[in-house]
Amino acid sequence: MEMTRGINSPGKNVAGRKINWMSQELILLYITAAFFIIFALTADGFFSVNNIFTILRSMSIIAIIGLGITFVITAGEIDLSIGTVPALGGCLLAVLLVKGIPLPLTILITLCAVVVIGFINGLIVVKARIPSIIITLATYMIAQGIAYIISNQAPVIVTNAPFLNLFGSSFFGFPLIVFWMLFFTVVSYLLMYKTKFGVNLAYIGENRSAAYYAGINVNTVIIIAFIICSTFSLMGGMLGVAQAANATPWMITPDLMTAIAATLIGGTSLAGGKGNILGTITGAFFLTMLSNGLLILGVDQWVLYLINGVIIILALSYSYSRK
Amino acid sequence: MEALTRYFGDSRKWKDGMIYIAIVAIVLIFSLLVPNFFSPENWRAILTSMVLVTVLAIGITFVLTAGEIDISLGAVLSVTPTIFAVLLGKGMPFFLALVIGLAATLLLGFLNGFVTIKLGVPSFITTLGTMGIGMGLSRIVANNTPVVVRDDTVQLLFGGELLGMPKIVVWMFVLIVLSYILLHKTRYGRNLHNVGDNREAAHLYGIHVTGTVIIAFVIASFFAFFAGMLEVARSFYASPGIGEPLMLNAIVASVIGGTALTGGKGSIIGAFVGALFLTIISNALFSLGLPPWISNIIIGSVIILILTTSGLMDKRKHELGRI
Repeated sequence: MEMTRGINSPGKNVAGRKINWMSQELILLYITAAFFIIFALTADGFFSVNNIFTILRSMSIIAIIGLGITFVITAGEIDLSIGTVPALGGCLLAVLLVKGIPLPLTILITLCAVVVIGFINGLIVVKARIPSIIITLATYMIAQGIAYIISNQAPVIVTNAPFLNLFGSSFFGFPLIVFWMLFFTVVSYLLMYKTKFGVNLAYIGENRSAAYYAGINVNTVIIIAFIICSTFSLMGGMLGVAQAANATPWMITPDLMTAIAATLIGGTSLAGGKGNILGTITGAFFLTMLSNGLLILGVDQWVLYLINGVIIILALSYSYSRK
Repeated sequence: MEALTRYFGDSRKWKDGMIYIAIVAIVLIFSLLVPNFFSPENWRAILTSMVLVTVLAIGITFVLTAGEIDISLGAVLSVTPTIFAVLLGKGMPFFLALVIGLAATLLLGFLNGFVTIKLGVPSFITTLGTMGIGMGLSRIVANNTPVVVRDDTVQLLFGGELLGMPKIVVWMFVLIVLSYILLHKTRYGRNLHNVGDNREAAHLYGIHVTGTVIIAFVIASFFAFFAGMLEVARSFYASPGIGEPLMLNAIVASVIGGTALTGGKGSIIGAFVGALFLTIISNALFSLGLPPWISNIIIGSVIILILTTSGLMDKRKHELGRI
């Protein structure tokens, strides 16, 4: 099933700097542009500064979580715990803030908690060699349970002004949540393409045995990928809390599949070895813009499920069937 | 490979035994804690509430045995019931409405198999897409509200009791027996195991790999259909979205029951025992007045415990490396 991967991966400029104009990420860009124009012409109020910012704001959390899972998928693994780790991080943060613990310490404690989750995910995956889908499903359930317990199954209101200012407010009309998304995009881009870690990660996803024999510390790199993923999830959770000014144990869970879908239609291959940071951002923008535009046109929310499903199948059938 | 397995001892058998040890331990603990745990009423409640998860878990077991995954079944579950209920409401005869509804569900199963095996899209992505289609389709058909189904034939077939047992429980056991025969006693079942174990070898051996995998997906969607109809008989409603929360539990039931996520090894009895295990935990927590989300923590921990232990003991996998 995965034997052909990586040999002729589209979009990889192996021979010279020739750009593949029909690569998956560029096709996604064309489709996004096409839909953008269609919506701008047909949907009243779609093409306005206000609405563009609405789209950017609502895509931010999905994009950041999607960036995190891009690292894990590049290693050839998957992380489902991103469905509940944001809620766990958010609830923990809110409860600690309510108890009056200073913001830096709160963030540090929360960060430690999610790093532990990522570490456990990675450690079990590399040591016990169990498919990551089932291990992260287990941590998904555990994180969900803990989130419900610490929040006592009710929204935890956050009034901490520095926190809300830092993550939820605007700076001269520019929403900070969008700034954080851009910040994490740059960080991910540098991590993925400009560091030794990123290069090693891609090698591991491409061919784990070869990476091992080339002297790469496979286990450590994979564990770090999982830790990055849960850290990004925490960031998504914190932004979610700052947006709503409260933390709930069920927040962001429905975005799990959207984040994974954004990553996959953005050109990151589920087989590993091919992470695409800008593709993930484009994917998140596309999915959010689609729901925004269709909602303005009066399409019911649940019709979007169907459309999203069809798009996922069409987009990926296209890219996989050409290999 | 076989020689290696023999050399290192067949830890698989031991691994399969763990779920039975875990279930006996859990039953013992809960029988001490929960009053009337062994009462017929309580077991009746357990059996009745495990029906849907069991039927879905059986369906997933076929797909997992083929070395694929299907995360769409929970969403697809509502497709037939909603189509059936709406057509019935429009005055269509029972049989015709059922066949049209069933055809839609089987078509989604076929789509899963076709896109996965013919176009080479990883089944996780394919079924993520059909999950969206199922979620959207059932909500569109039913206009996002439960549709009442008061049909004598449905109740005659699936409702009420038989020999003092709710008919849906009887159906569950019938389906267990039939699927057991199909997976373990027929040529198709044997082929499916071979395909999941080593697709190349199965192909060289003369097995029609494409057909076998597509049929596995269609079988899985058939079980989703059956689960949906049993739910209609139980609740008198065709509700869109009712099966979606069951999906993760069904996968968990199948996997802790000994079906390998890597393919080639399926267990119907294991799926049943896994579902029983999950249901006993939530039943006991409910009886003890404990919040339901604690069960998530227990189940998640049990998954990690069982799979990690067996993964660490599986020396053969360590010897041969990953993949």
